[in-house]
Amino acid sequence: MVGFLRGFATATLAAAVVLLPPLAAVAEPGVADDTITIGAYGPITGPAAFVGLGGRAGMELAVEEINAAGGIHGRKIEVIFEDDGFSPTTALAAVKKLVDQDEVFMIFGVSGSNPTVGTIDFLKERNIPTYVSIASAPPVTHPFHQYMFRGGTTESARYGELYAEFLTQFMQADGIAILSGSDEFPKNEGDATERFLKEWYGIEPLVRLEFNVGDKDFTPQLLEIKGTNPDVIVTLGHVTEAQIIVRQARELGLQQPIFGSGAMVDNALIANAGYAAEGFIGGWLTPLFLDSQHPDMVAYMEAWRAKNPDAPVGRPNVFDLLGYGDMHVVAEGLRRAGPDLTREGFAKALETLENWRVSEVATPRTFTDWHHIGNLRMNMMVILGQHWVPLRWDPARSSTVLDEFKK
Amino acid sequence: MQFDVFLQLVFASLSTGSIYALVALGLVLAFKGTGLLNFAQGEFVALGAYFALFLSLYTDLSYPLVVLLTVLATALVGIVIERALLRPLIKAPAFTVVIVTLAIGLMIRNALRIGWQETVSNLPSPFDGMSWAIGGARINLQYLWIIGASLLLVLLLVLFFRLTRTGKAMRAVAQNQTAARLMGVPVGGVFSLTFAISAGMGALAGILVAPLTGVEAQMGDVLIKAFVAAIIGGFYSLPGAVVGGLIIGLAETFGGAFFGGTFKNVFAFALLILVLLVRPNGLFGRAEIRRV
Amino acid sequence: MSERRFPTVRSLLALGGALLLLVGPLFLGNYHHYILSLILVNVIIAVGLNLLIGNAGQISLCSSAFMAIGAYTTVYVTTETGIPFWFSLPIGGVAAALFGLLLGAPAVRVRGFYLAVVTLAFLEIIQVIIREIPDITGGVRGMQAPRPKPFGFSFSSDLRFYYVVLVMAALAVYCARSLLRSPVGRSFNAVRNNETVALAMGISVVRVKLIAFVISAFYAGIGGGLFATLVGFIDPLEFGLLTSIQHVIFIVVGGLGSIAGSVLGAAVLTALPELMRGLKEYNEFFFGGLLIAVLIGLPQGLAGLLKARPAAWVHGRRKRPADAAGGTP
Repeated sequence: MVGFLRGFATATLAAAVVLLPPLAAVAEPGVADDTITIGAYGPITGPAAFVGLGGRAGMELAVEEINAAGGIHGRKIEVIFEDDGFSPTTALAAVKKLVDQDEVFMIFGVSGSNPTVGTIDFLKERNIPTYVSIASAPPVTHPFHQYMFRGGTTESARYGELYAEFLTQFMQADGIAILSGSDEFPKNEGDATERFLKEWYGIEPLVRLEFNVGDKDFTPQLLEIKGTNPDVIVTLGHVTEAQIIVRQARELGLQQPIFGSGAMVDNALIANAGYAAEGFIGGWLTPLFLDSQHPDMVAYMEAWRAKNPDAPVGRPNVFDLLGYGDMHVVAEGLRRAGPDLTREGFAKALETLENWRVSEVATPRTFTDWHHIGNLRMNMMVILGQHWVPLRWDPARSSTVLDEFKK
Repeated sequence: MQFDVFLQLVFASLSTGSIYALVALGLVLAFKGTGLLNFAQGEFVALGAYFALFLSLYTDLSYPLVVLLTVLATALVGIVIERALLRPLIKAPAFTVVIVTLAIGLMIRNALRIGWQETVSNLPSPFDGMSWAIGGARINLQYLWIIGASLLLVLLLVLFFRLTRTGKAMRAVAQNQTAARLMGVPVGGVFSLTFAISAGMGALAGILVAPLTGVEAQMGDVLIKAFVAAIIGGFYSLPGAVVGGLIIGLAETFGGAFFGGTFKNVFAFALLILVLLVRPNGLFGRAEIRRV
Repeated sequence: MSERRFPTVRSLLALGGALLLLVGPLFLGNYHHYILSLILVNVIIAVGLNLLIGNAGQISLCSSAFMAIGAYTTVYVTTETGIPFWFSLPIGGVAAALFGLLLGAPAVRVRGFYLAVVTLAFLEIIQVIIREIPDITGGVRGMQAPRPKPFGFSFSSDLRFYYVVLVMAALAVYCARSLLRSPVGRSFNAVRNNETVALAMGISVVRVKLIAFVISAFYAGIGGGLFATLVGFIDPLEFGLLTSIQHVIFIVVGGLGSIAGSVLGAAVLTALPELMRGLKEYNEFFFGGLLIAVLIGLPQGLAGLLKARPAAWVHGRRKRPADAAGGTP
């Protein structure tokens, strides 16, 4: 009896599955008379939590400011944030929940590259406007898609262009040793740097070594680098490893300047490596460092501290700033889309932004109707007197990143 | 290879190996004494580092006092965990207990990560910035302190187990719980003490290694290597755990030097397989007597 | 069997569950289809792993490595050779099984901690291989995994793919049940209980253990291929030690040696983190706490709950609970 019922049910359902009609589209989800609901995801648990916690805090600060100023055409912004544990599987679950269950208007991403890439196909398929603040993986913006945008962080290739030019032109380095983490962000940076060193300047690194995330001792790699006697040591990875690398390098007698990736420009580097870190240069994705006395930064820090009174030394970090700047960009796009808000209108409105930013704490963003790469700039920072100080340097070469879209 | 490079590698590996040895010792001690495989041992290392960090930031206590208080506090946490969470599982299958200790570790790690949100913090040490010049190399004094303190601790442990009554009671319980109980040894108390010592050792490892690596919530990951070290040593032998730890430290560092930094772990495992092929019960392990 | 007049909690649950699984998703959204499919993938892997650990009494910390082999093989074969998914999935399973044989060779010679560490070593080796052959695996950047499109009928809808995974999970459970009832399955139990006695009974212990490793690897490989296709993207980080440990937790919480336990454990522990999303960054902390509470309360796992027979009690009849291999290694 049970067997028959089961068989019957299965047959009926098999037929139903085959003939299932597509889900009916809802009229502009996420937009109500008085709210716009935005979905966001990023890692707030696990070893990468500092990325998501920072991005979320910055984003929330921006939302607070926007809502306090009256919102967007009378609507307040409401954000639903989901954890992705830095896993593409969980990120996809988070995004499906946000789109399917919470029916958000758009997705704001403050996660790393691999989790973000895991969500892209789904979001493209559903035509959900997606604004990625932190991940630099190419699939977000290549190929061009009407609804995919990248904000504060810059493209993988651009990191390589900037680093290559800076190392050879500003630091006048010929012999370059690269020590990079084996996970995807540092690896991408390292590969891009090698590529442009070769393509633009005909230089190959003296040695390219790797380390695993979580490694605590870099003596073998540093000793090998010492043997090649480079002009500059490039180290790409996260601040946890950077502070050990920098200290150990000095201990082992390496006197060369050390250049590091964007994630390493962090007060925690100074706090942990101390005077060994003097002279360390790294790329920073916004124009001002956190202790700048520029009025925009002072205002930001005051607002941030008021909202997060128990902040530890390492916060706010670059992800706080990126989340903040990018949420303001999103708000500007929502504003320009007008009171009759649609997803298509929002995407088109974002494309009208040209060198727009909320204040000097963010880089200017430009979107067009043929590329959605908001930022191609980085600012180099150096540790002097145990503080991060901006270096006055601008790249002379123009980027090739946009070339593929111009065809 | 030049002599000074060799020296640097030797001291780096002995220092790394000593940390693995300390954690492995804690693991084996807990296992021998209570029969429990404690996969939260790594988190005791993290706890120790964070306690010490807290004390050094918010109090004016001297380094020796910080070390003492941290070890005691972590030992206390070990006792609480043993009594509250592991005692009820005495009769449970081994897998269940292991998963529970893993879950405990997960909770501790998350609590540390959320409670102290800095990505990586600095634990000061009296040996900061000091080094010893020898044979053309400059060896960070912290390495020497780690190696020395570990040796001292192992010595103290050996003396403790050989000479003191409590130590002998613990050995009795490890060998045969029923017999020990019949002899009047308070087995429950011994269990708690074993865990306390194990946790304290983990905390000490944390205090020793933190000035080199920074204090962060992921510190507990050292457990995997310590587990492998303990197995190389035979998992029933305390000296084995120490030797195992040092071997892994050497294998990793020199393997990394010769084969590339990302192959460190593979090299350590390769060594493990080699050892097991030659001595299937680890270096110091006894062959199991299987009753039919 | 004379259970007909006194349906066990277990069979009632099975019937209700089957109906729910078949009909329920039609009323649910895309998010639920995705999560249900994830659950079923984990069920497949858990069932396979339980055969090895719970029934054959071995230890394995590298189930995620076999998942990875299945995933990469399935996706590579599908995208590079044009062989349809329906064939590349079993090919992925077979590839994983072959590696299971490779692992089995040294693994059958050791037991206990040493076995655990051999499987750890295997996992590390596979991870290094994945990283070091980026031309095939995409290395740390991962790979895209497409959904099957047989004769233009697309499975990119999560609902449709859910039914694919459901069928595979049902097959997996059915095969496992048949296996456990067969002579091979009984030899698993014999080997777990006492190797020496099993040998004395004429069982080739080495062969039995090898079979267990191979089968469990095959299951994990199939699970991996389905997983990759479901998520659409392979990230090598998802196949690390943590994932293997999660699989072990599924079967320990579910109940070692019990197929129903594998199903329960995988289902509950896959769904729980999603249900606990509301706790934001505290969800892992409370998940740990929940695990501890459940295991202290039910050290033998959730499967213990299934042996209750309320209808029998009502009618005053008490049967001895069905034999469930819930032993410990």
